[in-house]
Amino acid sequence: MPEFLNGNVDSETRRITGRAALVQIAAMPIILALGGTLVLGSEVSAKDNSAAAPAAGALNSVSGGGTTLRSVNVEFPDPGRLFPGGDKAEAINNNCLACHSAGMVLTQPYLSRAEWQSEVDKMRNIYKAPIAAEDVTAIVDYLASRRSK
Amino acid sequence: MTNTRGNVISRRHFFHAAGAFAAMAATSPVRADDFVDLDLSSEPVWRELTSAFPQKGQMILQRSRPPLLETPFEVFDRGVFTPNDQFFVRWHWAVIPQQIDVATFKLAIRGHVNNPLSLTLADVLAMPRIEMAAVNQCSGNSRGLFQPRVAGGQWDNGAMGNARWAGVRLRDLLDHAGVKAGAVAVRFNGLDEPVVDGAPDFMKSLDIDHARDGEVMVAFAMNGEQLPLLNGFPLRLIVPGWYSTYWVKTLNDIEVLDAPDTNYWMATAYRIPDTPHASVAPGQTGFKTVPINRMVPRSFFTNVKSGDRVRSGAMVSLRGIAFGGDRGVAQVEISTDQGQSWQNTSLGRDEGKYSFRQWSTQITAPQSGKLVLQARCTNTQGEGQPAEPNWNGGGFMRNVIESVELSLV
Repeated sequence: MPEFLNGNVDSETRRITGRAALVQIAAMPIILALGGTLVLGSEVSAKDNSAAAPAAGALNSVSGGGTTLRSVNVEFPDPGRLFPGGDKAEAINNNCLACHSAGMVLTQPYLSRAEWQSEVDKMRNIYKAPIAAEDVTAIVDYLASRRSK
Repeated sequence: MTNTRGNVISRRHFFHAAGAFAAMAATSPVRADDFVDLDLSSEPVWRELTSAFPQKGQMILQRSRPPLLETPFEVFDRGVFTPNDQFFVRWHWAVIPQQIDVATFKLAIRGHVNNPLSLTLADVLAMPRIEMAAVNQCSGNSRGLFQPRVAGGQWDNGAMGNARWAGVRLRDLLDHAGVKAGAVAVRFNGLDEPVVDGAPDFMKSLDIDHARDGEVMVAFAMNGEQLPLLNGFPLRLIVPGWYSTYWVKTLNDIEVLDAPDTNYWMATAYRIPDTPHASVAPGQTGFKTVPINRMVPRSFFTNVKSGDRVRSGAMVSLRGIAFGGDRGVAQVEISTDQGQSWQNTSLGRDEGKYSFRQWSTQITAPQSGKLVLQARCTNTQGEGQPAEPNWNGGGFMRNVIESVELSLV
């Protein structure tokens, strides 16, 4: 289990309060219901797709016309960092890392607060990010404080 | 790490992790090999270089999950074919298969057809095949150069690549399934999925006539090898001359439609203004939009970049790559006087109309001041590159004439 789910992480950039830990724990059934995909921490499992999932250890190949295709079984690297900023990053860390890593957000151009609001709205309304309404303001505040002029 | 190439002295472009960490404070990444400064229009311009992704060599890390990996630009100086292990990577959703069993993988062809199919890879490999060199370029390649700035992946110019693709004609697959009268479009879906239920699965579609044009291909090989998983193994749709958004990866589902595709990725996302160069004024509203479609000509310097120094009065060899969009390259010209006059360059071997084409020439550096170089490509349809950058809110279809500014020493 990712360590910050335990609620006992206390370094500057990985600080999670008790409330956040409760939110995380409360979210676990939802997360686990998403096709068995554990997404909050250091890995994303392949979706459950029998056509794509080989038996353990299978290393098949198929050939034809002079071409051979070999099964692949790879691992993606740990997406790494949380959003920095301690308490101020709590909402964004709890809500946003399930779908995407932090890095690209922090390299976005400076956007106005209204533009950040519309980005967060897009994530909720179109991409169905399960962000609690009370967390939206904190997420927009965080983005505007770091990536607005 | 100064490099000298002929009479060109490269500016120090890379910087090492140790010196960079102080400036990065709390966002310090882990496992970066090194860092690179891109020529982006806003801070931060640095990115990590990483070799941590499977089947990939050193790439510019734009996002780790879902992966956005940019090709370091110097790769394009090494030839017109981009190595598979440094070919750019772009995924929309984080649920990407990490295992593919070639013995059980199936490609469905279904929908408005007489004979729905479920093909194995052996079935596909047994069909007549074609090969084609074609440029694969992200719709938002160079978005990081847009002014005013726009949100999205902040790519420099490296979200593109050129490969020799081998596969089967989509037309043959469709004929095999027997397209019914009244079909209007063909929709493509891959094995990637949204993390959250109810979010729009990534799917793209082409008009039926385009799908059946004999050039659109389902590829199983890239530069003579199977595709890296992150580039779409085992099967990827190849839509020569069109932006990469249509080149669906890990393709496992082809659906013939009897009505226009209204899915989010066609009807809402990846839309461009229906205006010349897909350009509008920042803030403009009320314009008609269409799905992004064919590519437009571009050309780049690959052996010099802004900040490099050249010796006054020296002969300088210049080279680069160009592509014509959905046509071949007719000519590439360069200017050393800010576009007042243009001189032709020599074109390298023609690998096909959808391929990168190398160009080269020599100039004599002036005695003093600065040297601003520009390159422009004209395709076989007579279409060139605009002198002024286009702008749209998606950061799509940049193809302005690029400039590099060298200093004289």
